[in-house]
Amino acid sequence: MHDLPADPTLTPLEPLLAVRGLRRHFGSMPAVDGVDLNVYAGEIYGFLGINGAGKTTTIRTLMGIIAAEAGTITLMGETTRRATVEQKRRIGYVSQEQNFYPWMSCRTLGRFVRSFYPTWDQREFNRLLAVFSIPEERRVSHLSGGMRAKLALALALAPKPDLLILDEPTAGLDPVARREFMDIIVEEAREHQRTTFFSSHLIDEVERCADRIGILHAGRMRFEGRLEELRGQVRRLILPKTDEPQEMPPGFQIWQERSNEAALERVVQAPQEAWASFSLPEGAEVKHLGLEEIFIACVSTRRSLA
Amino acid sequence: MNPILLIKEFYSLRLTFFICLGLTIFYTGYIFITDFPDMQTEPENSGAMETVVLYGMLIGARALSQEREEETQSFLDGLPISRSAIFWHKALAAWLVFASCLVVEFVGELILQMPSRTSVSEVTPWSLYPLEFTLAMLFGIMVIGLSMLASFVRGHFPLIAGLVIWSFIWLRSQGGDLAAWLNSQLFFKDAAEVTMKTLLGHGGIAIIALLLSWLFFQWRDGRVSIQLAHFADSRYYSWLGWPLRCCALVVWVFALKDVSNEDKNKSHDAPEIIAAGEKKAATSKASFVGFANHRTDNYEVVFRQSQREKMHPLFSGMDQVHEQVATFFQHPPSRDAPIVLDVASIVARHAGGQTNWKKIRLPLNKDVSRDEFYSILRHETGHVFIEELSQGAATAYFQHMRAFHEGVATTVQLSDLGKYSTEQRLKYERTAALADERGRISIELLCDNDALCEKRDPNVVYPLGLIFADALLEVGGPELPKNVLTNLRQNPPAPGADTATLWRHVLQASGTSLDHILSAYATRLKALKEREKSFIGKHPIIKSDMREEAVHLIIRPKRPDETPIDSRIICAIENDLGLATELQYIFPEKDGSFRIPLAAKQGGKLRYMIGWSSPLLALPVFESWAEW
Amino acid sequence: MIRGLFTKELRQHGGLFFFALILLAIGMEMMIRMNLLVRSGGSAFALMNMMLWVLFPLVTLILANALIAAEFRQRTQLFLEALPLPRWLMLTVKYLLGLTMALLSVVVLLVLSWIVGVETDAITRRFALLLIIKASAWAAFCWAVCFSMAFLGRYRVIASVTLVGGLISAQQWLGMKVNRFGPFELIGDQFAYERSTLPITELLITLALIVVVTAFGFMLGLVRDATLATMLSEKMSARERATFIILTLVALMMIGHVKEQHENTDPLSLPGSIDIDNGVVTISAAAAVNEPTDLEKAALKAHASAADALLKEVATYLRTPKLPPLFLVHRRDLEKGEIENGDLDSRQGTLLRLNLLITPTDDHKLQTEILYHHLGAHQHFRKHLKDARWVLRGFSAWWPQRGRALSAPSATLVSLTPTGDDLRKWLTFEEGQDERDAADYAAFCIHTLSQAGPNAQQQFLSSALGSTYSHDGRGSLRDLFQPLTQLLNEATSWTLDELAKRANCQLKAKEVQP
Repeated sequence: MHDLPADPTLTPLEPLLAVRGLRRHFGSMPAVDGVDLNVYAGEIYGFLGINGAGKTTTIRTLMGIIAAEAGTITLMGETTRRATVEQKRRIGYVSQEQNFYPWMSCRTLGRFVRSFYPTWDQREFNRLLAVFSIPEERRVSHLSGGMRAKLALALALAPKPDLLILDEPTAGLDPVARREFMDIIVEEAREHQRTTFFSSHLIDEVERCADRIGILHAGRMRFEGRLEELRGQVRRLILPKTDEPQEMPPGFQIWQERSNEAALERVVQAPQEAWASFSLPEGAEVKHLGLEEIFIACVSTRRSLA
Repeated sequence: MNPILLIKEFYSLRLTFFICLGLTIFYTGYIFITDFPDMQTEPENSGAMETVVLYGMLIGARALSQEREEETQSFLDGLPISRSAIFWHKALAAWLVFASCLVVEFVGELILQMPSRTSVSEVTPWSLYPLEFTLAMLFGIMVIGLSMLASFVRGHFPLIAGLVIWSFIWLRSQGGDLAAWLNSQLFFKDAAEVTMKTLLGHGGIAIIALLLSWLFFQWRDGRVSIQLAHFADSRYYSWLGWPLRCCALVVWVFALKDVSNEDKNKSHDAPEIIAAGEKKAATSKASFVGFANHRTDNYEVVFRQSQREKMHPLFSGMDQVHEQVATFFQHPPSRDAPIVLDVASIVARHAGGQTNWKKIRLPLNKDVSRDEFYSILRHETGHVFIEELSQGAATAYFQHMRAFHEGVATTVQLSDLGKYSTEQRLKYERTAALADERGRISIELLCDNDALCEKRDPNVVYPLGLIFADALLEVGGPELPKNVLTNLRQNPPAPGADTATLWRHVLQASGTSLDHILSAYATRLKALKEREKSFIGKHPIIKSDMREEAVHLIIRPKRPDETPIDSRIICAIENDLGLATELQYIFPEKDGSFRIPLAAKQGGKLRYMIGWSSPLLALPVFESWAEW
Repeated sequence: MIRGLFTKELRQHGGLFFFALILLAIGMEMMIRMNLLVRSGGSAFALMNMMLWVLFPLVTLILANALIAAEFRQRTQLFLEALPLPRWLMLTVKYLLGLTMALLSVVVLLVLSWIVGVETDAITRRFALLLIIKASAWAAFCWAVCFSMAFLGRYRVIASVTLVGGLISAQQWLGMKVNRFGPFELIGDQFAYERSTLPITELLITLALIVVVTAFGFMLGLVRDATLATMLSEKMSARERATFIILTLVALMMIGHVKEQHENTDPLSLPGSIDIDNGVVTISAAAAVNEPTDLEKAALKAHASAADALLKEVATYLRTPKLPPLFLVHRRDLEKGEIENGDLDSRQGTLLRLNLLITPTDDHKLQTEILYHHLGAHQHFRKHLKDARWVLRGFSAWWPQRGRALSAPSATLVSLTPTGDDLRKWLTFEEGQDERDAADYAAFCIHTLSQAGPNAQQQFLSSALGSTYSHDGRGSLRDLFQPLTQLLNEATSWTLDELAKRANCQLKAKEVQP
């Protein structure tokens, strides 16, 4: 897994959530295959991966909904294989699908969930319902998809959790609803310094909101770090086509390579200082990439990465 | 304990509670509309066990499966509560809902029972109500636990539930210890008789079922459910699924049949004539040796090749037999629909012959004489005519018509006035007199087959049926049997009519009355008993000593001095074959005692009869059933 | 196109068809091995009959579910509809395939039965043909019904259960001969034994039903571009489920009520009876013999007249406009003093059997029995079972002795000094005493009522015994709001204790003059 060196200007902090060597199989298929990640207090962590990468499995394992086969989870200073009930009381969770009891009204649902969280703030819940324009007395089965997602968020925020975990919370929402939802997340995070861990496959969402990102592919972490670091390290190199093989200097890793008649295009990752000292061959060009292009190159690489 | 979660679970099961409430309200209302609610003095516990099982199953089945169906399990999993806690909340809520349903049931019962109480009423004493309620609750835990366990198999809950119930019934019927551990009926019929064994048995099953359900629910995050769901999505299951569901129906039909103990054997049998001292040889199915048939005007005879020599001389008299029967019933024979006479097949052990619609099975015993053969043929042909004239109605009302069937068939059998038949008739009449002397058998009892078999030897229907048929002929003339059958077919009584009502209806439609027949029957029996006074005196009621010895019940009857030497005391027990019941004769040991295996007990009781067998009697005459 | 459809259906459901056939074969084999069944049934084809009734409809249910219901539930019929083939052709292929499988199942059953039946049944060509025709007609009928039901989607189970339940109820409780109708008659009791008569009428009815039911099924599957069937295949909501449960409960109650109404309360008639109808009560007296002697006829007439006079007088006294019929049956075989009750339904009246020749018309016991049973029937036996039986007992014993010396109860009973509580708990009291003794005491209590003033006795008795009850809960409510003690108090201003006390005084003083 790429673990880029931390920015030396930052104060080293103990992560609020640290996962080491997490493993989980379904049958013979590894859904999560040795995942390490760190989420620091107060940050918004974007967990990126394509469909079937293992994001939901990772999150469900973090939440203790399913048990990990190997690895540890350190949550708020306590290390376990599986989240305990006490730990879960300090986490607000929004799942990918909101499977609420259809016969409950929003108010009843709130009352029900409240009974599990000693830190529940009813006023905050009511405020959030008002902010989200969710009618209290309406039955859950009569809410639209977007309103359900907001209701789920209200239920997750009302207990004032230390950690907010969101599993693709905007899946199925239209762009306006999605923007609204993420704005609320960011606002909440900034206002209350709430640590937020959310998974998504929508690049723009992650790009806009996340402080740090982790890229998961085929059950393994491909990258974890700040966005600027990633952008600084991964660039597109366009080389003129020659007959001789064009090797990259040590420390440079090719993530993706495409060639046409005239040129050879490579997406290459290397430490920033390596780029600084890199001498461009004649006729070659270096371009900076957007997160989407970096992500595509990252998840489509066939070469094993050290 | 999370009270909100408990309330939520309680609320999820509200449908069952409302069903229970609805049923109780409707039933109570129904009684108010159709009867006097303050005259419900029948024991109210009938159906109580079935009700409790129904509610327990409905609740237990929904407790865990509802979450799966509504797909809200993942929502609960995301909350800070363990799966174990979720399970026990559900189990507790299920039990509380069940308790509520039970309370509603009891209230409903009280609404009817309270005003129905009289100073000698048989309704439940007040003091037993708390005990009954508690026992029902405990029983309910077992049912809920088993249902929760069965609910893991999703759509096959009815099949599993049916198999469990059927197993219970079967295990109970084996008697002995098993019956003591699993006798659930005690909870509802004899609350004061419930033993510690029964409580432990049911409690143990409840605990095991709940623990298994808990295990399946929370082990490896509900891995059992997930695996079953995967299997349900597989291709193989798409073939298995519906057939298995349909098997559930079959299982329930058989389970309910066992519970209701229906009379299973409705074929019409001629009584087997046992000579005194002869042990009945077992009839075994001979290997296939080739068959032949022979057609007379009225019969199509099927026999084995090996029987050809014996059968040949009998063909010539068969049509005459048929004519005699046709004359008796005043019904012309139909030539294009011959009766099948099968002398090759086996019949039930106790029967000399058996008839089903137009097929007679009449095994050709080694020593049967020509007269005897024709006699039985006349009897069975009589049955065929009865069925034909009534177009099957006589079998449809078998419960009340058996005495008529056998009585009229026996009358036909003995109607040829030949020496054999005359002798046989005397024997039958003697048998009837002795049987009635052992305990009056009124026509109401004679024509109620279940009540008769419960009290007396079922074969008593032959001699007394003969007297009954004679009474019919005396009162209504030779056309009365035919008229009875015709009226039964064309103008049947209301369904569910009891014996007296049915016969009153049918006889009134035939131009006579039940009282006429009762009078004639009673007069005839009186005269017969007078005639056979001496014989009856020499065959008094048998007194016996009884004791248990190892695995046998030993009965030592005291034989009176004046009894003729060729009269023997015999014993009979009931042999439950599952689909039919037959009498099994027990013959005496050298010292004259009878050894009955205690393993023959059914439901913890051994039923037996002691009686007389004599060459002067057509059949052995037994006293009433005794129980050990 | 058609071949393609057939191939697709066979590939999709072939395993299921095969499994269903195996299920049938196994079931049949198990039954064959149960030798007792063959013996009991009398024919190997009796087993086939049982299979046709029980398992075969399940097989057709499986087929219909697989071919039709599952297709609509999974919405795969939308895919088929997008193909260039007419919808009716799709349904026809399914129908024919299912019919073929159903008939194939019948063949399997027949073959298995044949193997056993060769040894026990005289199988002629005609017999075999009859079996094949009847079984095939039944198979086609079952398939047609299941095919049509399958289009009902989420309501198919309810519809099936309602249909089966309705047929069973009609047969058992409403007396309709469902088992003699059309397809059911084909596989009735006589299936394995009827060897020559082809049931043409039943076959035609079955054929007509098949056509109608199949047409209904096709209509459901085709109407409005199959949107109806698609809608019906959606899952049932909780509200729908609750509604159906309630409807089922209501239906059950209504069926029970209809069953009650149908119970046999035919008016009774005795052949050769002498009838007297005085407008209040009908008396029928008959002899249980074909030709009663002249003496017997005279006795019948005399007893009928006596009973008529008795009941007319009682009806006038009790101010009741109508009493149920009374039947008196003369039995030569009964001894003197032997009176049997005929146990009629209260709506039919009362039937008593006795030897009229040796029983005088003014026999005390006879009159007591007539009054006891008849007035009991008049009030639907409410006074028989309730603790107020002392009134009925007492009146029945007292009335014939009016104007004469009352029989006194025994000294033992008198010494017990019964109280009002004993009257209230009369059934316990009666059980602990000699029945006749208790009746005599009750008679004394009735007699004592005359001390309460003019007409008090009559007022009480007429309100207690003369009134009629409707045969439902209203009768109970009436007794609840107007208990016997209240009636007594209204008529006499006494309580039960006072009544008992006065009766005891009378007995002790040995005042036996009326």
